[in-house]
Formats: sequence, C-alpha cells, structure tokens
Amino acid sequence: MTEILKLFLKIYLLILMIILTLYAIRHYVFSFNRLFGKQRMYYQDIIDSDLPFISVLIPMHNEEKVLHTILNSLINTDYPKDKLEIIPVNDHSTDKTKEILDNYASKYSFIKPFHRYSGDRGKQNALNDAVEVAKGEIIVVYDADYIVPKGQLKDMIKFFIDPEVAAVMGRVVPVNFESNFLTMMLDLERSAGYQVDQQARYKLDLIPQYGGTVGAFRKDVFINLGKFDPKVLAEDTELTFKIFLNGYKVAYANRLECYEEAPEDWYIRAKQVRRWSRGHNQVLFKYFIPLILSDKLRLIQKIDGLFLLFVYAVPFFTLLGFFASLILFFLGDMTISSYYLFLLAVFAYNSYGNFAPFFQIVTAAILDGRVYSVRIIPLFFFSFVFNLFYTSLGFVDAVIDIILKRKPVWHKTLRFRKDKDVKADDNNK
Amino acid sequence: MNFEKEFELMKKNLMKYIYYHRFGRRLHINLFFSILNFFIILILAFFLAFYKYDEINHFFISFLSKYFDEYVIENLFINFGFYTINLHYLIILGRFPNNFEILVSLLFISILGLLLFIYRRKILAFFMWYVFFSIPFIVSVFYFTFFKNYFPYTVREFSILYTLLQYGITVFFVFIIAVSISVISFSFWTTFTNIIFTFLLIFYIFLFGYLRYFVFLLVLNKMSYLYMANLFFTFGPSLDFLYFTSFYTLYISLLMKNIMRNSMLWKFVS
Repeated sequence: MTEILKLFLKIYLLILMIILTLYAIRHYVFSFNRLFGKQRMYYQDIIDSDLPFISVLIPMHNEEKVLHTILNSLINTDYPKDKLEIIPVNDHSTDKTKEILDNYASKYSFIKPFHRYSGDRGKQNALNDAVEVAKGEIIVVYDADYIVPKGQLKDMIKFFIDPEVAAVMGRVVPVNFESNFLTMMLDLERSAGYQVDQQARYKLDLIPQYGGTVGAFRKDVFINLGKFDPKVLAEDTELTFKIFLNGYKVAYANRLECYEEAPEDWYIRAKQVRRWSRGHNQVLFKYFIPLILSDKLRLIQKIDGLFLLFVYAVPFFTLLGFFASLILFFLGDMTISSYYLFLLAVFAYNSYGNFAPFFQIVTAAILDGRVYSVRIIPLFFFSFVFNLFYTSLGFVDAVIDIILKRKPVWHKTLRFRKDKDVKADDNNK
Repeated sequence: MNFEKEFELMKKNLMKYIYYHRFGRRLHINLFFSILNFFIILILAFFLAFYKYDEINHFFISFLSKYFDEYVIENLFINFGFYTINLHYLIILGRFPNNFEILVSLLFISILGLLLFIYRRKILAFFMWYVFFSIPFIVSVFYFTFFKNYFPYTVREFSILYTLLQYGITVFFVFIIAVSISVISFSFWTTFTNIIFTFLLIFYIFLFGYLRYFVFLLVLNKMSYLYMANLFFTFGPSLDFLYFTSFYTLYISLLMKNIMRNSMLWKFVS
C-alpha cells in the first residue's frame, strides 16, 4: 500500500514538474519577445472623423468615495460629447452614490445614471442590464476607482476599425503604488502582467485577455454571444474565451494606460485574489473542452488558451505538490526515482520554476524604467505563500460551485481613497 | 543638405530630452556580446559542474569536519555516464527528540501561532508564511510523538539529500544566470561585469551552502531530528532562491541606471 502511495506521489510530482517547466518556458518566451521582439503597431495614428456613438459603463456599488474622480475625468475627455453617453450603473448602492449621480446627471446631459435595485447584485449582472439601455455601438467599461486620461476613448475606439476585433483591453496602472509595500508589489505585478504578458500575447497573436475594465467591446457581438454568464465571477475572462471561440479577436493596447486604486490592505487583497481565482476557475471548467475542440483557433492559440485557463489552478496543484513532497519526505523517499529526477525536481520548484515569473517582472521593470523598485522584487517571495493559499481557496470555491450548483455573490473590493482626496475632488467639480 | 542625416542627428539630440514612450520601447540586443556572455557563463557552469565541484566540495567538507569531535566522511558518487563525480559529506551523531522537547516546541509554535493569528489582519502575508513554516513542524511533532521508531532518516541520509540539493542549486543557478543575464550584455564592459557578478554569486552559493550545512549539522547534533523537515522545507532551497533573486535584482538595478541613460540601447516598436 505504501509503495503504491509513493509511486502515485512521485508520478504526481513529475507531472507537476513538467507543467511548471512549461510555464517557466512561457514566461521566458514572453519576456524575451517583449524585450527584443518587434512590437505590433497600433491604430492610434489613424485619423478618423467618423467616430461611432459609444456608451461608457461604470459599474458602481457604494462608490461615493471615488466616483467624482472618474466622472470628472470622463467629462474632460476629448471624445465628442454628441457621440458619447456615460452610464454609471448604480448597483444596489446604499450610500450616497445615487444622489451624487443624479446631481451629475442634472448638470451634464450625456451622463445617464442607471439605478438598479432589483435582481442579483454583481458586476456581470449590472453590465448585462445596463447594456440593454445603452445606445452605443461600442460599450466601454471602467471600474469606478479609475482615472481616465483625456484622449483615451478616441484611441480605444480606433481599434474597432478592424472588423475582427470584438474587444479592446488597455493597461492598468496603480495610482497609489507608493502607499505601502503591498501596493508597490501590486504595481510591479501589474507591470509584468500588462507590459510583458499581455503585450507579448497580443504581438504573438495568441490570446490577449479582455480584463473587464479599461476595455471596450462591440455591443452587437456581446449580445449575440449571450452576454455575461451571471454564475461566473470572472466575466472578463469568460468574454475573452467567448470572443476567441467565435472567431473574433481581443486587441491589447499597451498605450492605453489608465490609473486604478490598488488594495492597500492584505486582507482586502486576499479576498480579491480568492474572487479572481474562483471566477477564473469557473471559466476553466466551462471552456476547457470547447477550447480544445474549437475550429476557430490555431494550435498555438489553443495551447496559450490552456495556459491562460489553468493559470489560477496551478497554485492549487503546487500546494498539493508541497504536501506530496512532505509525505514522501516522511516516507523516506525524497529522491523520487533517481538522483537526476531529484535534481530536476529541485530545479523546477526552486530555481527556474520560481525564477521565471521574477524574470518577467524584472523585464517589465526594465521596460518601464523602474530602477529602484526592481530592488523590492525579492520581497515577492513573501507574497508567494499568500497567493498560493488564497488562489487555492478560490479553486476550491469554484469546484464547490460546480458540485453544489451554487450562485456566487459578488464582493466588491474596498476603496482606500481618503476623505481629503474626496474633498479635493469635490472642489475640482 | 542631407535631410535624412540631419533628421537622424536631430532625433538623437531630442532623445536626450524626449524618451520613447514605454508602451512600445524595447531593447537593442547586441547578439555578439549576448552569445559570448551566454557561452562564457555556460562553459563556466559546465567546468564547475563536472570538473571543479568535487574539489571545492572536498575542501569545504574537510574544513567543516575540524569543528566536530566525532565524524565520518563518506563518498557520494553521481554518475553522468561520461563522467562520475565524487562528492564528500559528513556523518555525525544526530539525536532523537524526547517527549519534553516535543511538548515545549509544540507549545512555543502554538503560542507564536496564536499571537500571529490575533494580529493576522495586519500581517497576513507573514502569517501565511508562518502557516507554511509550521505545517512541516506540526507533522514532525505528530510523527515523533507516535512513530518515532519509523523515522526514515539519520544524519547520513540527510547529508546525502543536502549534498545533492546543493549540487543542483549551484549548477542550475549558474545556468539561470546565463540565460537571464546574457541578454542584457551590450558591450565588453557589461559582459565583463556580468561574468564578475556570476563569479561572485557562485562564490556566495558555496560559502552560504556550506555554512548552512554546518548549522544544519549542529541543529541535528545538539538539538534533534524534530527540526529536520523544517531544515529541508523552510531553510533549504527557498532561502537560496531568496538571496539569488536579491543579488540578481540588485545587480539589474545597478545596470538599469546605465540602460536608462543610454538612448542608443533602445528601439521603438519596429
């Protein structure tokens, strides 16, 4: 019996080792491609006076602290106001969000708040309802804590000149990165995710991801694809796969930088990671088979799609790998089957397997010119277990969702904007 | 007037003040120096792995053995087919924990855990590390309470595992450095500093590795086998990884100052 257990654990560790190796190779390929490869041209230099009518949707649940900033930045945008409507989607707010939005609406005719106090709460539900009342051909989505640069909407819309592009995704940059150690880390993490990962995937014609904010999609395509699944928390990832599986594309625009508020509290971050993981793994279970069977995607896109789908599942299997190696240790059989495999396992878990994502962060930091923040990268080591644990919890949540067929409840990320910031925003109105 | 030349000159002057936007900038790779750098480090790793590692290992083991009254030096052969290396490791007396030690250790880890749990909201990342650290320890406590006689290791087995680990870490870290550092080799000077950095890193890996081996042996000798799982899982390769990334990122941040200043190292989009 013990021998069978040992054999099973060893096989498990070997498979995990191969998976980690493949992910490490992927990190290196993306990093090298971004550092030295030719980058894809954008559409922003196209001069097009025939801009479409667009609807900017901003899902909000108790956002009184931050909504001034995004609305003021959108009011100042250079997109023609006769071709623009801003729809803040008040989703069951219990604070002063409704009153503030109505006040804005009385001053600006293109701001049309959509108050919803019935039906299930949640970003995916709010957007599904709001799209029904939106008049724009293109739906732009921002989260409520974002600050939109003046010319961003025009640059974003130009991507839709390409009829294959069904969605566009911009780059998210934390605005409060100097607040504490956590925000500094999140800033670097975002930098690696967008500057290297997304950009390389777009450039290599793989699966760049629509991220749910600082993004836009075609309304008709969105409705034809059945809108967002209310049971899926990661509505953005779900839309990405729907788009690709139906023969459309997502374009990533590294130039479209938008500024967000990163969580300043580990506890809030834990909830956010767990929710992302849960939603992402729901998408994994839903699209794993359709992705493999799809006739719209090239083999390399399917492979990248699989890597993307499993990205929040791998930490769970790595955690299991830790327990597997702990059991093997106490069973006195750590060398796996030979010294070579033992060395390779060490190599996978503790050297390149872990180092490859670090290399990707370093690459992003070089490209972004973050000379000094590079030095805090080793501290990511301390968030490693944190991410491993909460991402794994999200995976377990997603499995339970499937077994019990339960409907997940959306938990909004707490905002950290200080009262003085809100007052400053009020003065700028 | 040659407008093209004039334009290029103007562009170079402007680059001192107006830099490429980060969305599309990329580095101008110098293939000659990158390949040269890669192969020099790779040859160094190969030479170290197959021809010099055993000599260095013998030196350190003989040095460490002076600090123990009773010890045996044994051979560990790793056969690569074309070459076999003979590594040395130390065997000293280890000790099994008694019930009092197990109880005191368990109490200590529990009280620490309780304190960290109370303040977990503020130190969540650290608390998670504590949990990660305490899992092997608690399993160890359980194991030595109920199955002490079945514990499959002595200092001999532990030393073999450690020696193999250290060998893997040394060789593979040099390989990772070769891959990760060669690409930012733009000139003779950066190639030279990259190689010097690699040498210093290897020196540190050896120094740290054998110093840690010495501490581990002391723990197993003076304290007990109760801590062996933690020595392996908590203070093993993960610590190597921590200093490795620290040195690497520190070095990169020093290089970056030069990279950011030198506009000739950058390209834009195409």
